[in-house]
Amino acid sequence: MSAEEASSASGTREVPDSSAGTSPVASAEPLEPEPPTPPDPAPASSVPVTDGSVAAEPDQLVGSPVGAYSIGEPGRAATEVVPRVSADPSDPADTQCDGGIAGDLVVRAASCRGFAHRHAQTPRQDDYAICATEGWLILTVADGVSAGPLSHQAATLACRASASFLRDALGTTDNPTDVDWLELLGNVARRIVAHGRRVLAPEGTPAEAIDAKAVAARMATTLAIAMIRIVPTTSGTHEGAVVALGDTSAFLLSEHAGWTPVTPVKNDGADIASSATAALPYLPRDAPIPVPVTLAGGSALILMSDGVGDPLGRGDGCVGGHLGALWSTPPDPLTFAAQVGFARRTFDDDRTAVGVWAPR
Amino acid sequence: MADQQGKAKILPFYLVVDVSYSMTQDGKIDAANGITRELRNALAEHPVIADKVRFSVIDFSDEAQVLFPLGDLSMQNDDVQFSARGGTSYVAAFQTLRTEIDRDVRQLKADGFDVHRPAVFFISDGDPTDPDGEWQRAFAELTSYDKTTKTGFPYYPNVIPFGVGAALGTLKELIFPRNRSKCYMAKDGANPGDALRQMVEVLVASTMLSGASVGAGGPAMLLPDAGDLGDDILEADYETLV
Repeated sequence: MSAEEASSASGTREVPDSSAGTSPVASAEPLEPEPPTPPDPAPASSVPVTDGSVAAEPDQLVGSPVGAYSIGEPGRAATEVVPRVSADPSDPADTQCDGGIAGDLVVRAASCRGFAHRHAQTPRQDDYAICATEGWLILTVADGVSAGPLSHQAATLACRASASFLRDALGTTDNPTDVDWLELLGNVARRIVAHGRRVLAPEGTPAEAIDAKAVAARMATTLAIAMIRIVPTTSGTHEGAVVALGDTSAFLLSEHAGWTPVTPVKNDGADIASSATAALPYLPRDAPIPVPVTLAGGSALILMSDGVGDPLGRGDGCVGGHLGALWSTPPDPLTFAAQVGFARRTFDDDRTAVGVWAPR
Repeated sequence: MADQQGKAKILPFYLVVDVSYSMTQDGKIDAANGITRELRNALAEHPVIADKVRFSVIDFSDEAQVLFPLGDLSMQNDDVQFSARGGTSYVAAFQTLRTEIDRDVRQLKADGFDVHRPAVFFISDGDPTDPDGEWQRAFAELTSYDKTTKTGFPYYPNVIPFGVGAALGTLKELIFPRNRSKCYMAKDGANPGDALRQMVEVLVASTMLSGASVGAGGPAMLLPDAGDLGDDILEADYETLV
């Protein structure tokens, strides 16, 4: 669902419980949600009902706009860059979001084009996919490599192909460590190369004539995959695992511990910031080892592209403080998209976050 | 770098212009007076880049002065105008640069910015009037830093020299770092004013390329392709200028 479609279907704005006391980190900079306060959804004439919500009059319109968020100074880009309509109807939506449940787990997902791509009139290169079986919830996030003009297509393929491959694999093994991860990544890489050959081959040329390296130069992507057991353990936690290729990362978020990286934090402790990153269709030499995660009640696992991960850092700054407070419980999907797309001066990359919350 | 996470990125540029009397000849100073207008126009069209770049404008003759302290040039309504006076002291320019960069970078860091390596666009139309050896020493003090002993100037800038009339041997010594920067000069017989206008195009292009690169995690200094240069100017790197 695109944000545009979704906004017309949206109902009353559900304001997340973001009482500042739940944030483990003091907020160093002001957060400016706009509008700062939603309109009063309960006019004096409304009749309160027993569950605490408010019954509307028969013809009364109830609703509120989803505002833009910014953390610190938003920058000129936030006010001046307006996305233009693309000439290509197949281009990805500027903003995309989803929400749903799997068992008692709550999922929120959003991918927003950054100001740099909006200004350059190039597509959003991030994407995500979500799917669930009776046993597993699967989340994927991919960040197309910016040097490749068609990397958005690689990102979309990687998200969808890896999620469906993993869904089928977990139908037979039920254990993330037993999944053939090199085969999964190889399957995704082959699909990217096959698609790239089709797209890049000039008319009348067989697709096989296109070199796989030529495809990789035009479309490449990072990929992060999370799988969570829908049925909780006897102690009420949800077990799962994360596999990440490149700088797309995963964090646990809990009231007590704040942000805890599941995957290594980019450039953490490095003298020189590096932009080199592993990307499909190139395959790692060794099979990735799934990192086990335990989702305790009330906590969340969030996969994110570096558009979110870079301003978040280790989660102990003002961005981590604000997002941690906003996401202490799952916001409604449209609000989550607005929050993922927060403006912050010079942070103009595409943003994607997919989160799963365990019930308290 | 870990402590830089979450901080806004800033790429500081220093525009340093020779305003010795000879700049009044051949329309050179008129061309220089168009620089900030060209930069402002380019930045106005690219708010994503304008959010990351800051400019300082310094002129120098016998002494150097800061005409526009490091700030957001795109928010200014007026262009910076140069007026000619006196001789050509590179020492004055380099010493003022070092003082300004040191103070600006410290201030930006204190204000919570992730500061990338500054770049200097150095425009001169003649050889220095400083005694030989002195300007080289001042340049070394601006650009030398030893990472292991942590001695020298940690915020040393990249320097891109633009010469209209300066001796090649002098211009070459101002390329920094020698393996990545370049210098630009007027072709023989070219009108110096026209050449300087084309150098301004290079300077603007470098600003935009570098600003976009920093946002995408690339290097903080990029220069346009040689094929994109105007007809009256040449580029050269340190090794090709023997």
